[in-house]
Amino acid sequence: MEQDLMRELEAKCIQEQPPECVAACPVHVDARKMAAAVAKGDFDAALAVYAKAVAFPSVVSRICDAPCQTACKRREAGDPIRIRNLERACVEHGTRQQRSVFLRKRDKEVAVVGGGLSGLCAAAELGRKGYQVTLYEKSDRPGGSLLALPPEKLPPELLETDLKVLEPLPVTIRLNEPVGRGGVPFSDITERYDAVYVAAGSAEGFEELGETDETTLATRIEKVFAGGRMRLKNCSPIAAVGDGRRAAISIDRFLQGVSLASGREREGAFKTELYTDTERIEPHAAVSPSGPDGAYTKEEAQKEAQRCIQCQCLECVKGCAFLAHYKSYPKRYVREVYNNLTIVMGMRHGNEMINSCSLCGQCAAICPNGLNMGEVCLQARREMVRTKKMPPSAHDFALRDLAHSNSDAYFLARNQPGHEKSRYVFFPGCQLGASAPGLVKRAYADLSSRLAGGVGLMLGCCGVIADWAGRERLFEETVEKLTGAWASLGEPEVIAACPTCFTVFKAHYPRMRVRGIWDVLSKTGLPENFVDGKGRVLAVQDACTTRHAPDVQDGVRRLAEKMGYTLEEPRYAREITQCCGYGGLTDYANPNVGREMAARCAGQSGSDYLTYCINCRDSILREDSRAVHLLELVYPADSAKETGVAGYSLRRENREGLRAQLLREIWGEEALESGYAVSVTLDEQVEKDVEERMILKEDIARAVAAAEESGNKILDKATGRFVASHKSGAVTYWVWYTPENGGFRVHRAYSHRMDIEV
Amino acid sequence: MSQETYDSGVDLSEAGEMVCHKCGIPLVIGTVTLSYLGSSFPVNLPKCSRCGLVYIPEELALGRMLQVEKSLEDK
Repeated sequence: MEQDLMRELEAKCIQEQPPECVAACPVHVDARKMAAAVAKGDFDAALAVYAKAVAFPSVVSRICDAPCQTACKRREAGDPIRIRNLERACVEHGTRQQRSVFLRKRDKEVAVVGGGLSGLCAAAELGRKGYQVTLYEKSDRPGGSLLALPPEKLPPELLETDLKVLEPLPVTIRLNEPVGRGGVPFSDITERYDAVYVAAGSAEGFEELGETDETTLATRIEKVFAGGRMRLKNCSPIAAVGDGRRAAISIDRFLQGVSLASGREREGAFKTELYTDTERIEPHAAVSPSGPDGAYTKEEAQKEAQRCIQCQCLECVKGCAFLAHYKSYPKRYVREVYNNLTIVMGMRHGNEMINSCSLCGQCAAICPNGLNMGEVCLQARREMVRTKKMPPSAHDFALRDLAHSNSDAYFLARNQPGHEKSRYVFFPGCQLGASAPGLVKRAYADLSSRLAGGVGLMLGCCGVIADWAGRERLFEETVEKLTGAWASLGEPEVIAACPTCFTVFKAHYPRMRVRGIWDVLSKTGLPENFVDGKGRVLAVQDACTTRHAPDVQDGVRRLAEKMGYTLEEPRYAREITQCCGYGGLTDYANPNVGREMAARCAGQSGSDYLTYCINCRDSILREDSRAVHLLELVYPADSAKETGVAGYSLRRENREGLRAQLLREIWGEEALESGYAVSVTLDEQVEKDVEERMILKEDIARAVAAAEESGNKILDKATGRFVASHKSGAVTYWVWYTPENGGFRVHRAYSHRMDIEV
Repeated sequence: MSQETYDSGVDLSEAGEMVCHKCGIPLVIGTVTLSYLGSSFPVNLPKCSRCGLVYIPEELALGRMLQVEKSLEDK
């Protein structure tokens, strides 16, 4: 991944953008953080947040025009947060922490003309930066227009309190010293000081300064800046504070000889890109203050602050168990992926995360900017494979499953008996044949009897497993193999039973024409013995691979409704559907995250689920929820035997058995069912262990057979059990067993990848 | 010269209960080299002093060895 791309992707994630209240404030008071502190009753911390942005909190919290409140997202669910009242509560109930003033003394001298709010703020900011500030005030008291406010709005003692912040700073206030007409000549000021901020309230007498620059407050005279009410068209107190801050920054930059204007786009009020969904927020009215003029008690303030929804995006994280699992958000994840790929020495801590994503693209469908973590993780996997940095264990088992599906154990491509070529070919996919082989048989029998022109059959894997594993070469080879087999049947129209195969064929098999079986059944009509829903309610679990295929989603719904089912749409359906944990090989690379994904799917509704991907069905069943695959309703089984979830070994047996049965019953050919090297029966605990440890009965049987044949086995005298080991591929399997009825009973099975050197 | 071995983290005191079926003698603790992705580690494990047959206990395979495998894969 190139750094430019990483930055571009990072920028799409808006989680770190400021909330509306912060962006709307000219000095960016962090009202969200302040409210969080008040909500906990920590008024000291809240006041510290406020005072960081506002030098005179007692005054400003009384008179602020609070653009933050107009912007507050809470207005979409009740009243906006009364931020100004909260600020006042911070001042009244919090104790101001004496800022540990560590002044870096600078020898530059700055004059501020005008002791109103803007001038005072600039003086405070410049003083904090260590400049020697002299403030010229024409009257006998600082405060300017603040002094004209009625005492019930601004009690005079508050100004006194706030002015104390100037005491430790290198700020000198010269009262009764007007500048300009009738006072100190302005030219004297500009001559004597290194920089000047004019905030005189009125532009009268300062005409020579001309228009001020909006961003920098620079005037026609190089070292003179101007702002406050003499510039602002309104009387917004917080805008006056903002000008004071802006002038201080400009003067600091000017005196340090750096660019005045660069990088200041977001200094004042701006429009944030943060997205916050308020649709699911319960509306609450504002808490009314019981004290005079908007004074909150501690409890009232706390209650009001608890209404703050703490604006953030996290929309994708809310929808995805994988994104939630790593407890952060895509902006950080993109950076982790980038770091993981570019690391030269040290641990690649991002490997597990990269291999845990289901690559389903739900995040991109939800994200206001379309950031696709699935694409990021898939590209990363490909790069890891190319650079030989892919952990070998991550996808080993899944790739072996692909190999099994496309080996003689399962792979098949046949025309319908009596046909030289096929008009259609039924492609059930690798997992449907593994989970529900009977269903595949019944579906093929139906299609081949009702569709004219020959319905061929192809068994195998479409290659998505290789694609998900980042194995580009293997994926290409698989596409080639299947395309060749398909062409040999006369390039028939493909009828896919699996929504993932359907999507993969459409995207990666340019010569194929593909339809879903749901579509064929809609047009051809249902077989006679489908299960009539009689109004039964089912919640639809859309397959994640068809999120951008509304025609598939509609087709499935139409068919289910035709069969008499009433469908329920869960929150995450259609374009924003959740992956069940199988997608992207999550279940293999990180079973915990896979289970978390399954649990989310299974927890969406109290109704039974309707799926059209067999992996969705199995995942939901594994969570002890009820789910039925669409085709189970179309082609019901004679017995209920098929509804359980097949483990890894049974899945292989099912595939092999399905192929052999079809060959025998339809094509009259004897196919050898491979079977196991020796007959093994697993203890109940071992049945569970091998699923978690991804150990096949086949590997267990091979270990036992090899030990029995060679005599290379260990006897545990304490239990009388034998211990055998066998290396297959990169994995060494260990089996504890005892002979039983001509076969073997297995008491333990485990494996490792490290080699034992002899 | 004796080579320093890694601690397997597993109680091997019952090694004597394990018997090599072929040689008919109890396994004894000896040094075995385990390797993965180009790194190798000498470890003390039960093995047959005659034919060299090694026993890897379950708690070692699923514990220490798995940890080492994972960290070597992430290196």
